[in-house]
Amino acid sequence: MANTRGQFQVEFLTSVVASGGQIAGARFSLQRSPVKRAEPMYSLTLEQHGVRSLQELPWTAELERFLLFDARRKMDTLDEEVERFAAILLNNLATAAADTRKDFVQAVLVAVLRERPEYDLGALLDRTGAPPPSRESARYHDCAAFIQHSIDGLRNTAIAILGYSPEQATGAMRDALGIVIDETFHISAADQLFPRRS
Amino acid sequence: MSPGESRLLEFVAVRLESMLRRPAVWGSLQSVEERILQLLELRRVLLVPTASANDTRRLMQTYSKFVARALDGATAEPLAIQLERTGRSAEFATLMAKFVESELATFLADGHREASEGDDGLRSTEIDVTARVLEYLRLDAEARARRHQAPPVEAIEFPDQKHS
Repeated sequence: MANTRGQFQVEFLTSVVASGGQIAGARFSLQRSPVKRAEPMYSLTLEQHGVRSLQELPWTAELERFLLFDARRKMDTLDEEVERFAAILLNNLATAAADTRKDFVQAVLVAVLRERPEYDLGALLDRTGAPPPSRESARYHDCAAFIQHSIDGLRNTAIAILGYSPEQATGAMRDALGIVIDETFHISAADQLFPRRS
Repeated sequence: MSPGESRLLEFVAVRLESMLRRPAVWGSLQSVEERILQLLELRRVLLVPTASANDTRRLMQTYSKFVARALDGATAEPLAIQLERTGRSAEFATLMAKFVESELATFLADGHREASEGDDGLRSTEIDVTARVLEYLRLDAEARARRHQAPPVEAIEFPDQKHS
């Protein structure tokens, strides 16, 4: 029996599909703003017996797993796919931060991305101000491995499960990681709230 | 308060919270306005069981006064129509939320008098109504807290697939 919001969402969508319905459209927005935390939201168009309805569902890990691995559902546009990937990565970073310190995870993220030139995020990473983490500890290696696995796993899933080309997947990951850095270090928010004089 | 009344009061609190948070999900603004007013009528009946269920006069009087204060040149039309006409539909949820709160405040200010009209057991009736209001406030707080509860943090794990 469903207990969490995510379980309710999955139970609902599973029942729609089981009764002959389908997810006819999928849109996604991180709902970002400089003065509040992102509130990721799915807008799913469901079709049942020729009737369409729109369901707004807040992002949950359970819902994401269902849409990604069970329904193998792409977003309607690549821009929305990018925001969805950013939500997944932000979630995994929050998971890592729950096990250790948030600023440590952020520093490891920057260190990992500095070694990934294919994502070309140097200019953005320079604005984070994150100090380089000590690489001696097992904690660093565990955290770096988790972040690398999240990035590579999501890119591979975009290709193998969602059907994007390797070039599309890399481009979407680059943009999603840009959003993750921007959200994590509040770069755009700082620019909007405290504009720099040129 | 009976368990049945408590469940109804919880239904009112949860449904009002949902309608005020995302009115567009519940239909046109005009229909949402009507349904919110019906829920408020139900809330009044549940809070003061001695009041007549057919007497919606007090609620509608309070609502008319509220709309008149909120809009310049207000008419007797539904709030949603007046807001749409002046391009202020985005204010609908905020205004309705204000009314839902102020209606409870108005009720608290004069509700006891309403409850005790023609009632010999004045004191016990007042206590009963106050207990019901407290129960409603608790249910309303729970409905809001459930909405704002942070979801448990749980990583999305990916199968090992190799791609260039």
